[in-house]
Amino acid sequence: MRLEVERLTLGYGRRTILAEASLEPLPGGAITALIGPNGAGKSTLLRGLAGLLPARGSVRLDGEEMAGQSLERRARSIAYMPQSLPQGVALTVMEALVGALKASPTAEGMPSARAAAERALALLERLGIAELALVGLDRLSGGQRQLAGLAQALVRRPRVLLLDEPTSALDLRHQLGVMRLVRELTLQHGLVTVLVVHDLALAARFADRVVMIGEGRVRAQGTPEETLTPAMLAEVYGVSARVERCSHGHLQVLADAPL
Amino acid sequence: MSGATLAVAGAAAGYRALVLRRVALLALLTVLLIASLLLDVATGPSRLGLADVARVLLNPASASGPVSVIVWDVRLPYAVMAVLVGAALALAGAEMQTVLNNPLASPFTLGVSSAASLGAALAIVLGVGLPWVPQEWLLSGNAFLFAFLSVLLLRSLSRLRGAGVEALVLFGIALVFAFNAAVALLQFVATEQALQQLVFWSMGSLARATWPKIGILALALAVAIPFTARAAWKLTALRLGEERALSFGIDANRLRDGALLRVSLLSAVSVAFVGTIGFIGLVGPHAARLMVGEDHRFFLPAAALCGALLLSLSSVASKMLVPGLMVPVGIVTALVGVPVFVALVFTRGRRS
Repeated sequence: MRLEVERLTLGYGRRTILAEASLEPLPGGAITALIGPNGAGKSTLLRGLAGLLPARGSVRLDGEEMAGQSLERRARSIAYMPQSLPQGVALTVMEALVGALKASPTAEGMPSARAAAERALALLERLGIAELALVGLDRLSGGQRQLAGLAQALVRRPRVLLLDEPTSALDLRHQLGVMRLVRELTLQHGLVTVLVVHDLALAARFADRVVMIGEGRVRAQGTPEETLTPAMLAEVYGVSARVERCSHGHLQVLADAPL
Repeated sequence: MSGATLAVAGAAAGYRALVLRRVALLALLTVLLIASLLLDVATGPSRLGLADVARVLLNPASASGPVSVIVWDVRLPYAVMAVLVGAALALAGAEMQTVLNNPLASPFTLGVSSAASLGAALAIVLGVGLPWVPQEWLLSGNAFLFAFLSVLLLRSLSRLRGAGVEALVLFGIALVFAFNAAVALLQFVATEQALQQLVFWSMGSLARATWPKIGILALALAVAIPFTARAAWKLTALRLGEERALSFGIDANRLRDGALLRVSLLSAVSVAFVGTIGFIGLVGPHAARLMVGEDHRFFLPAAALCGALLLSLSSVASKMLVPGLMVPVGIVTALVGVPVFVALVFTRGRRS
């Protein structure tokens, strides 16, 4: 499993958001974090990888160009989680999951309604939210909604997992829980996982690779150590920052002041 | 057993119970609908009781002429038409609300009924219509054509410059005003007799029900329902957001086009035959949503059943409201529907 991105240009209408993004090949079994300031184009790049935007350039999965594939075909390998779930939806967590599974065939074909329900429940248990199965999406807290949304992406058992800020609404415990689960699934199934995060400490700790985006261009990419440097943080984020190792050896980014 | 496995076992049982409860609700709605249909056939100005009606229905040969005529040619077509029109309008409203992601969408609020009125007005006031349509179908033909075209127009307008779903709803509202203005203009120049006919038409009445019309509407339903059923899972997934649906492999535009085509067919045929009947297409889906949620396997049939039940009850009420007089059912739907709707919203609110 390998995702290759070359000279990808994305935008809405005539407005270009991201210009000529080329990434070093993203291997299976590794997590890539997209970081950068607000409006830099992180989410746009993620949408582009999901094939949701008109694009120039190339996105290839295992050498196969994604652009020419039908939505249904693409959905067999790629799952994308947007930032939010819509409001006012009269579905329970379970119903939404079963609906996500039955919307189109997954890589393993189309499960029966019963099999879909079993699969959905097993996933909810793994996410630690089995008790929310029959709660309406509209009654969930912000963090619970995020977990339900994540489940909708995971339930299709994708080979490429694209997550837009999967932990932004979660408390500390659940942030760690979700990131651990994502890492587990990534390693276990050899997934290509790409996620947008704002929390640089989470990116440093859980990502194998970091891609830093600023003003619609890829500014740096590589291991967390290579990309998260005071110089790059000053250039892209406009902050003076220190990058230090904590007593457990984890990389920590300490922002001191805006420049 | 650990806490987690207990929670899973509980959730599994709970989900099965939830599905069963929804099926049971559908069954209950069906029973109520049948009861309402029988009540509708058993009531009327001619004071034929349920026993007389049952005898005529079960043994057509036994009945004397006038009784048989009243049951077979008046009451039964009215009652069946009420059920079919209610089901068609509510089903159309349900699909519309889902694909346009707007709880205010319905054939009535997005201009389909207004377009039908314009078609009817052209036929009544100016005698304009399709050349090959026989005179007695001119009005229905025109109303159908305009209603059908209005949805296609709505669709193509929204395609211009890639306007989004929100724009489609706004276009629909704009169309309502445009069509209403055109109808008003025609009313202004109409003769007194034509004006009266037009006003009465736009009230919506089951008195126009005939067996051939029932046959055509049943056919429209029979054509649309299999496609609707096939789209049910995709419609459910679309409720989770358009981007998410796309990532599930759903071509949202194609799904929307298919749904709008079915909506235009069902609502155009309904409106063409019985005139403007508001509210059902809006409230049927809402009542269904409150009862069974939005798993479209249950939501769509529940919406159709709710709409059918509501219009059938309205038909009964239309005979009882003013003794000896049948009030046009289009007037009654809101009178019956609003209290039912408000009650539903309140009971739901208390429970949560």
